[in-house]
Amino acid sequence: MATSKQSMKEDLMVSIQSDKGDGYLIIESKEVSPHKIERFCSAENTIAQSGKTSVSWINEHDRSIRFMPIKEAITADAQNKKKISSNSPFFTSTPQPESNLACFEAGVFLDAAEGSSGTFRHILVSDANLADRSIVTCGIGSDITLIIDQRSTADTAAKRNGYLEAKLDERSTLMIIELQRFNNKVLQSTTINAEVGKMAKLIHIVATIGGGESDSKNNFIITGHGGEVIQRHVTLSSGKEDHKTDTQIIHRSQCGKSDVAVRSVADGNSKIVSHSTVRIETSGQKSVSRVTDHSMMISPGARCESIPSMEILANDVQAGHSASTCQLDLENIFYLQSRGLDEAEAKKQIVTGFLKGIFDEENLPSSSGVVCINELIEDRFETLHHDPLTSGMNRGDFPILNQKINGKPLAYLDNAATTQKPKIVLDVMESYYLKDNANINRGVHTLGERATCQYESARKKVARFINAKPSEIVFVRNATEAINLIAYTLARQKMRVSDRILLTAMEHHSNIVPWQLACAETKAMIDVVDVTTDGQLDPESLRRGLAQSPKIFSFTHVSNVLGTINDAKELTRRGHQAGAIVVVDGAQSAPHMPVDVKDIDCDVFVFSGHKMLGPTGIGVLYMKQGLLNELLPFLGGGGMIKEVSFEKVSFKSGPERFEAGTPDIAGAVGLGAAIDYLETIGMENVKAHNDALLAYAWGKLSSIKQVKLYGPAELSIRAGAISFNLGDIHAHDVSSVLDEEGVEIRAGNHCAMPLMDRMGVASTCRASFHIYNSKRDIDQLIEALKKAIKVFRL
Amino acid sequence: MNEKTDVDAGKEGKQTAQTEDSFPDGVPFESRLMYTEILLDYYRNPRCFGTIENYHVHARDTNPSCGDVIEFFARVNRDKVITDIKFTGKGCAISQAAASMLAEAMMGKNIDEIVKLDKKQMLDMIGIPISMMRLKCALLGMKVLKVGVYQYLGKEVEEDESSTD
Repeated sequence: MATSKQSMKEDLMVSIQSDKGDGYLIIESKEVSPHKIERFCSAENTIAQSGKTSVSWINEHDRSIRFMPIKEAITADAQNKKKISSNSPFFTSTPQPESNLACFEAGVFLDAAEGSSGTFRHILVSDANLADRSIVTCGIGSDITLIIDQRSTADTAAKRNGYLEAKLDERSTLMIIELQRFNNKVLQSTTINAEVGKMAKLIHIVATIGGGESDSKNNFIITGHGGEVIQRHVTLSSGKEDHKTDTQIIHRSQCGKSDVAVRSVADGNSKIVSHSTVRIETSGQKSVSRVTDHSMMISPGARCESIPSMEILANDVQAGHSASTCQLDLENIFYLQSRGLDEAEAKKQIVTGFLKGIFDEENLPSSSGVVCINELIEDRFETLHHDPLTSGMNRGDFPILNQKINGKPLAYLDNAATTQKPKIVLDVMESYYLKDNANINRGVHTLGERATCQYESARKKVARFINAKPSEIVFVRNATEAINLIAYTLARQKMRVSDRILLTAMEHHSNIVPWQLACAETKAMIDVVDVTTDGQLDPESLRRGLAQSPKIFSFTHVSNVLGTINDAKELTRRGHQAGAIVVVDGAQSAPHMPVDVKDIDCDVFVFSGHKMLGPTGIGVLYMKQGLLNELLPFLGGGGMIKEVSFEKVSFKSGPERFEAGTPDIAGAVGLGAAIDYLETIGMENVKAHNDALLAYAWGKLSSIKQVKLYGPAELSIRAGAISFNLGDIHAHDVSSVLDEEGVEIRAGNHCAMPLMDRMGVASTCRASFHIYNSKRDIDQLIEALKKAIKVFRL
Repeated sequence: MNEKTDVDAGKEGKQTAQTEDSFPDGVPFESRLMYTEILLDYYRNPRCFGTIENYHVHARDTNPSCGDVIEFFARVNRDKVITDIKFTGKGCAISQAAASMLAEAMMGKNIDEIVKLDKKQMLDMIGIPISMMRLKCALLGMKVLKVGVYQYLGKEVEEDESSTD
């Protein structure tokens, strides 16, 4: 029976008693407070495995956790309807028949048996506030690697507090690898206390890559003869980050070794302070100790302090320390530039080389964890110094992009059809369903109020986004539904026989068919503004169309095929001059550029949420206040009425009168989050990114002689969509070959058959961009097109 | 030679033409499978392409997602044997090549063969893996020809038979 006791905090004792796979984990509290214990091991998240044994649930009575055979644990689990799977936050590569292991959301209890070995990865996935407490005891001769994986892509603020106690018995090795990668809203504090026994070896590797503020304290005590501590710590900071590390190693026994290497790189206005202290007590004769602490500041506002110190009480020791702080060496950068690297790449090479250097030493065992660190550093450097054009904006926020299609990296270039969604949009929608879901404007209960608030707040965001009033914003399913709504209600109330409706030849079917239906009802007639061969509205044709005094002038702000940006303000002015109600289809403009409906002065503006990083199923119809109050409802039902009896009905004023039935509340909330996301980036920046990609793609595509490009060659009047054909090959055939290369584009008639006829083609290929697209995606498209040229022998 | 072996022989001929050596380097392997030499040949030089005056069988249909168009014409003798068959159309390589292969294979056949024709036979005839999104292209020709024959026979096309899903 092996027994180990650990003090987790002064008032709490944890002990692990084990006897070949049947053990107890006992938590004793001086204060009898079950809450205190539950804080450490929440029963809901108790998952454990240890070869033959597994852990059961916390025992309320004696406040102990009992290990039991896995089979029983699963039975208990089934009763509790909980899952034990390999996806559990704790994964062990090699089951340890004689070790005991319990893992909670908030910590690990690992009691490694004598002679056992294995790698354990503790993934702290939770984005919320977290306090984890872990205890590791390494039995005689055991060899354990514990990876504390805290790489998080979440964007939420959180406080994390980690505490690890380790005890290394004779000849055991424990390697602790901490991977810390957070956003700048995370405050992190970690404490590690370890006791290193006779001939035991503790290897502590930390990578602090990002995070708002961190404070780590490490206290390692060498208690046994010949015990060894190796520490490697890299920090890479930017922005206003503030990192502080305090390591203390105490040699209490003879012949101990300690080897500390710290490397810090600070960018922006960040600050990194590291204190490494080695104290060799009088009992620590013949100890060997080395501390090196070097830091580099790569921007004028960054600050680094490296303070190694030694306190030597014994008289027969070998000890030394060195420290330096330096700036990025410009000469080295010039040298690398002279070898053909660009400045960003040169900087990256120097900084990553500086940081990674400390892992190349021979006395460090290789581990996947160290490989991870190298990746982390490179990845972080990319995001620090990345050129959004080279690698895309905020790509990490879009998990879907991180996959392979037919074995090739995904290059998603079909954004005019629909965009991908950032994780924050999904999180907000999930949170709405998990916490606040209720019907809106109906119940008077708390959830009803929360849901209503969120829905109305989304309406306000949409209004602000296009500079309208919230009372002018009607939520619909998509731009198509919005045009149908307006066409139907206008047909019913405003249109007479022989009225003219003016459209353009570059319309999407959704801005043609609803008007045809309206004409079928009213016997009104459609006129079409022609498109010039270079893909712009024909001025003469426009003049003739407006001379017919159309009742309605409906046109697209940006063509989904040609990418042409129409001057909506000028067209609206002329439409109004001709006496028309002006409808603008903003499905392709709202996602890519700043839109101001007051400035445009149109009567109606429509767009879809799913094309602007929002969810499907939600769209927006903006109507000027006067028109909105004048029009009768489109659909009848709940939510849009003031009073109903079988004799008469009165309708609500404002946008609600067009929102019969329960709307897509979660969709609206998601759209609100997408707007927040876009506004954080800034629509001007979104447009600039798209414009730059467009120019890059246009240049590359026009250099391929088999590619025929459509639409204006004047890029300043284009938004981010390019239509093209490859020789005489049908667009679908081209698209099939591109798909094999991981390149997703749209091929077909783009729901604009009249325009296709006008252009004299059956179909085109279309590449369209959004913020996460990069030059790399376009390069991939070009390479794939070159392959298609080979396949089709063009 | 009976009709069955005739079809098989045609298929074999296609397979022998599809040697990997005949593709330029750098062509993705999947594309070698999908856009075979033979398929591209049928697309570039369609057999049985054109129209027929005084036809017995006629139908035309489109595939709205691709914009593929296929129109079939055929003349049939008293024994219900196809004496002349032609198609016209425009669209992607798969739809046009498939229609051309179908026309060629059905020449001289009894129209009952067309009635009996099913999706699997058609895909075997094309002899390349077709992704779900491209199935409509591959089967459009068969659908059109079946509609024409059924109209000629005065039968209603059953829903699932004309479906290209």
